[in-house]
Amino acid sequence: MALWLYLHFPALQLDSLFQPAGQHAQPNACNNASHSAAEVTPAVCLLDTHSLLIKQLNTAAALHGIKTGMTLSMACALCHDLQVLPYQAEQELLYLQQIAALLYQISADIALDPPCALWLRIEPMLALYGGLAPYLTTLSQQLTLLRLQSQMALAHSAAAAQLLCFSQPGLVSDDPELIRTALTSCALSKSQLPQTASGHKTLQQLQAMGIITLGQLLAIPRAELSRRFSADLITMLDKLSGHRPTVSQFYQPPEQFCQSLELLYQLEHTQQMQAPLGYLLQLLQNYLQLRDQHCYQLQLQLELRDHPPLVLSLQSACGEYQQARWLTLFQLRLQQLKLPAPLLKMQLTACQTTARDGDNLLLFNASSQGAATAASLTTTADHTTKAPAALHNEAAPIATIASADVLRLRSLLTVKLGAERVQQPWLHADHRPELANGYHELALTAGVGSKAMALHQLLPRLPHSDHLPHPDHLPLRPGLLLTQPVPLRMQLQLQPGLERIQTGWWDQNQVQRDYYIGRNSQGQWCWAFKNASGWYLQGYFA
Amino acid sequence: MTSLSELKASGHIWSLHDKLCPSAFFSSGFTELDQLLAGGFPAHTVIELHSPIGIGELRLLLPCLTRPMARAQLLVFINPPMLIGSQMLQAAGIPPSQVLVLQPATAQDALWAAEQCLKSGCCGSVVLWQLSLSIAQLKRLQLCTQDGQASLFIFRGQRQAQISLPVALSLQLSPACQGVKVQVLKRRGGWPTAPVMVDMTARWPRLSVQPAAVNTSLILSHSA
Repeated sequence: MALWLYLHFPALQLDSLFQPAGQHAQPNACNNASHSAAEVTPAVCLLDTHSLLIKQLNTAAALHGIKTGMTLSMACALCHDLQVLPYQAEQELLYLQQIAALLYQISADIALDPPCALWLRIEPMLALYGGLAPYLTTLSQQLTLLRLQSQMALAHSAAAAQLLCFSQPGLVSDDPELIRTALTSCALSKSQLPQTASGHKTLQQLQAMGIITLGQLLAIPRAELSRRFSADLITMLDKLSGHRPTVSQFYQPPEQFCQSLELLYQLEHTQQMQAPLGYLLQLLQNYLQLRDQHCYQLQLQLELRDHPPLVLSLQSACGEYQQARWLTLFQLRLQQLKLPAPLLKMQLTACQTTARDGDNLLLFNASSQGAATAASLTTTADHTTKAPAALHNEAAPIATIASADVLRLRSLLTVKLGAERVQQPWLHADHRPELANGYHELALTAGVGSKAMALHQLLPRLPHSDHLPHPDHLPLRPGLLLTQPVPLRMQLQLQPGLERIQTGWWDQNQVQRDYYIGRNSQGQWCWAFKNASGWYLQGYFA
Repeated sequence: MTSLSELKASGHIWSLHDKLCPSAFFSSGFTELDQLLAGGFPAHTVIELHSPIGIGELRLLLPCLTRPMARAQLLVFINPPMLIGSQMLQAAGIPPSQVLVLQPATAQDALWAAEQCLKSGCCGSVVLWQLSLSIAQLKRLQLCTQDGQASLFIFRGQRQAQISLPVALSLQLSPACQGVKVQVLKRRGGWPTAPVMVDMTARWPRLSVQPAAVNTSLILSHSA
């Protein structure tokens, strides 16, 4: 026997505007300074911009006597410090989809009824939960977490559940007799009949005949109804009895994580962004945990008032899913960020997620674990979104330490200091010291057009470490090198022996130099060379 | 009121007759230095070095820096005065892929980076060039070295008249013909002794001046 639950959120957009958990008032919400910061919820309502009537209101506004359908002037007269916001249908749809994503964790068949309701098909779930009562307990737990005003009703068909919810919300029982009795007493004006123009006419005709409730309608033989009234009525009756399906498409969770959060109050300082960001990251963690995935790159889009949106892109060398780790990274980034305009809305998108392979950790690790909270973030505060580059492990020929701790440390350093300040020494197979020694940036994502790589890509890399020459056979090279050789200006006491490097005839940098090791009067060991134009200093044997 | 023996056992006071635990030291790789330091460099702590650039200060530390490489740990250089030569690293047996060079803009960032590297547990040693350091910053770094089981070597330029910091080991390096002259400025569990010449000729024969060759070596003087 089919069992459907209809969940209606009468004030969906309003309740979904972010308010800090556990607090009931923002410090800047109350206009009167006499109100204390706690215990006072501000009265908020949403205004439909076309009809200029109140569409949604919260409980605090209802206490003042405001009802839906009132005009703005009447509402303001009832409550002088009412907060009014515009109603946005697409925002509400977004929230509905987010709710469906959350409820998808506990219930499989969900269908959306925009703008602010959901259908849940229950009877396949009853076997899983072992009865209606456990299922409803789980559902109500999830709904409490959402902190939304909601109404629900249960019936044997989707349309019947909808009708019940609008006329007698709160009736959840799988007793067929009870449902039938409740349905017969539902008023027809609350059904879907008045939604169409012809249906509205039919409803008026029925009311003129004295047929107000569904029970009275069902008492009339069906053949008579089909003769007298339009097909709309018959369709509706079929849907109510379950012979015709109401729902054709069920909710499918999106492939990519994308959650947005609209803020009730505009934020001016980045410290205030912690709480909403933490909420979004918790949603991300739930999403990734369900799919057993990691995320390498996150994009946070900040919508500002009268300013183009700001996009922060954060990358982690080591895939992360935990909210705490990502929050650390974001905190580092946000410390350096100053908001150019007040923040209205934030949206978090997970760009790169991959399946998680298990971390292989030693159970009895000799070194202490320490707080490995390092994670890297590279932030690019562009005004346009960048296409995420593919993650590429570019140090393949040279053996890399790819352990999670190392990657996290590199990520953390790159985020805080900037990618250009975290580098790795680079070894080229070239005799010219200024090309053989150098640094390259740690590429968390290697782009083909990366400037740091351009020169080095032309030079051959060193072969695999198995084929490297024995350290004893390598020439003596200084520990500290000047970036460019400078003319020699001091007196050196030279050591016996010299090294001639003559190379580079194949590209434009031909060198012919005689290298000497010398000690100057301060005791520093210098590496100097002589070429055609004179003596130069290149490094120190530190 | 804790008794004298408890204080001694916990290491808050020590007497000259105490022998410190040998496993708390890393051999420096040079016998004279090990003798001077009664065992070697103290493990997992902050070591302060006052030295001019280019006299062999990094070479003195190389055996100590190379040891953690075998455990696949990182070596981090923060704010080196010049480019670190990768060929030198390779010759010393340090794979460049296990080395990171950080060049933060401010001293605060440098200290933060040092703390993060030390705490992470995947760094064997961190070498930091920093001129000024306060006692509070030093204590934080010491905690991080203990947490992460790593060592921090700080090069603080030439020794200036400043308050001495409570480090476990503070050395003054000065140039010498055949290596480096090391003077212990402060050592936990020890007392100052005469400076010692650490002979590095065995490892780098070309970087030492034989006394007999002083008169016959080539003197290069370049007139600008």
